Amino acid sequence: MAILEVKNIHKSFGRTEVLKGIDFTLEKGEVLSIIGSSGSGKTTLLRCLNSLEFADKGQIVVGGETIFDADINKRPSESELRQKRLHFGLVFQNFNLFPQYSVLDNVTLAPKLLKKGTNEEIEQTALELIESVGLKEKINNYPCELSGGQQQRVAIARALALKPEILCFDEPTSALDPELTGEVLKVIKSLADKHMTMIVVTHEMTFAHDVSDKVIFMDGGVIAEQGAPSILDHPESERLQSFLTSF
Amino acid sequence: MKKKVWVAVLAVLIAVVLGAFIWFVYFTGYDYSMADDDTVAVGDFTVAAGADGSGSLTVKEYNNDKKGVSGVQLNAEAGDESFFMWQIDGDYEIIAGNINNEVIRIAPKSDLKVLALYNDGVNAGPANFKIVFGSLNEGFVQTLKLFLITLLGAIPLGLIISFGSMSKFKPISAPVRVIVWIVRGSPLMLQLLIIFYMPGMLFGNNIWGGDETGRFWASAVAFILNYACYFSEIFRGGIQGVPIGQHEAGQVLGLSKSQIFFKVTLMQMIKRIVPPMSNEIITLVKDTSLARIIAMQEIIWAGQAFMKSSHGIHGIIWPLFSTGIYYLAFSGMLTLLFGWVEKKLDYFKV
Repeated sequence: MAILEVKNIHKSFGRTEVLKGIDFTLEKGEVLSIIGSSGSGKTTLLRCLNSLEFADKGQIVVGGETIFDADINKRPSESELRQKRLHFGLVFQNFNLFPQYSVLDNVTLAPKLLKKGTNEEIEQTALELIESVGLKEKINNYPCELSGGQQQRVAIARALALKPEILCFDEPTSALDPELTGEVLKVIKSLADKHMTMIVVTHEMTFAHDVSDKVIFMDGGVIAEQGAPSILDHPESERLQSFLTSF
Repeated sequence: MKKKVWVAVLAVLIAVVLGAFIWFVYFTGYDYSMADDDTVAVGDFTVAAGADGSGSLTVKEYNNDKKGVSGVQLNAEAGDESFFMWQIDGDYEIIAGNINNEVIRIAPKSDLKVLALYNDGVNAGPANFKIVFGSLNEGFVQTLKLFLITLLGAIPLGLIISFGSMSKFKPISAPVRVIVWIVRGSPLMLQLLIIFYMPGMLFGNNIWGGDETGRFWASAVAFILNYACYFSEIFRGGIQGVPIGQHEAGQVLGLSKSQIFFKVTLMQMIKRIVPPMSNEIITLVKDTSLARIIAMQEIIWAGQAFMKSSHGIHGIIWPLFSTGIYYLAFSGMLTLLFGWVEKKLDYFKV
């Protein structure tokens, strides 16, 4: 059974319809890349999954549990919402690390506040995660002392600390220069190798091609084409063809 | 090299300020009178009308241990141009005097030695130091009290007002913004007068009471209201200045609203508001002097009182000028304190 089922998601901001019926499924351990030009609705889709926005129509089902259904008018309570968000992790384009906390505290803050274990356990897990993203020697540094690529790797460790079922990346390398992009993509690839279920919104075509199990091309609020990464080599739709020639 | 120049400039400035102060004290600080505690009144008696048939004269006997003199003090009423022509009852005789300047020399009839001199070139400034600075200290305590009470009241109230003005619910945000506009848009001095006098005019009795405590609390209310409105705008800027991404990062990590506020945004907000708050708080130190408009006895009031008469000293202006030292010293301390706070928050950037 699919770990994630997204059914007929519609979302408008005022009169602008950003998502016009999105359907897809994702199996456990798969990596899905979402590509498409700016304004095609990729980020809005991720925000709907993470309950930062609420779709106007459609359902989201995670592991058989319906976490969102637009037909149910009742807005979920604050605590329900917090539970639902924990199915997903989200890594932002501009990292959004907490500037006043050290690297270690950034990673341990949420697990400690949510009482996900004893402080020792949480710190132990955090240290392992920080080591796995290659920043063991930076645990006591503050975000302002790190490069963009290092900050993004901390952000990945922070998202992983809550053990999400699905980890989402919103253009994780768009704010980085090409040199730093590589180190972040390497971390994401290593997660893929460990069969972490991931949704990556990206403009890195090579990465999408090499790492993903599935690629979705979005255009104008709809999925214009989806399938195995090979669609990037042999695009069917004209729109995807012209999109890819721009790279 | 450049640093040395600045140090020299600063030293010269400090020397000029100190020099000016000493000059005021020593060259304008003539004693026009005896201090009250040196005066022992043994009875007032009025002298008969003068040669021109007008005015009267009150004579008070005194002695001044410090100066080792004794005699009588004369207070002549207006219109007595030639009061030294008067015959004083008994043992005393005026030997010189000028009513306009209240300059009087008197001596017992039996002994024509001058007993006391008023404004005769004897510099009594330093002798008044203790009295003047004692009085200024008392005034400064009032200033400090008003300052602290204002901070204690205005910071939480300002936070509430800032949440009110940021509310998406118009019936709350609209009136709050109107109040902020009124309070920030009118003079604090006027607000002090309205808050002190208005209740009496409306309800026929002054809820504050006419004594010093009443005046203090009326001032405190006016200052808290005024400063809360200014603070609320600073807080609003601080809260809205924290990027929305910080809030969202907290949300996707499953934190509650209060956890996000206290653990994520608050510290960043504090860092943002320290510079504008230090500005506003230093302004508050000096604004407390406005409370004298409703006769609250803060330091400027205490200093100015010596220009007329206070603690038996009258006609000296240097105590008023000296109040500047208190303000400079206190705001200097605050500047250092806020500098320290800013440095403490320097470990992260927002």
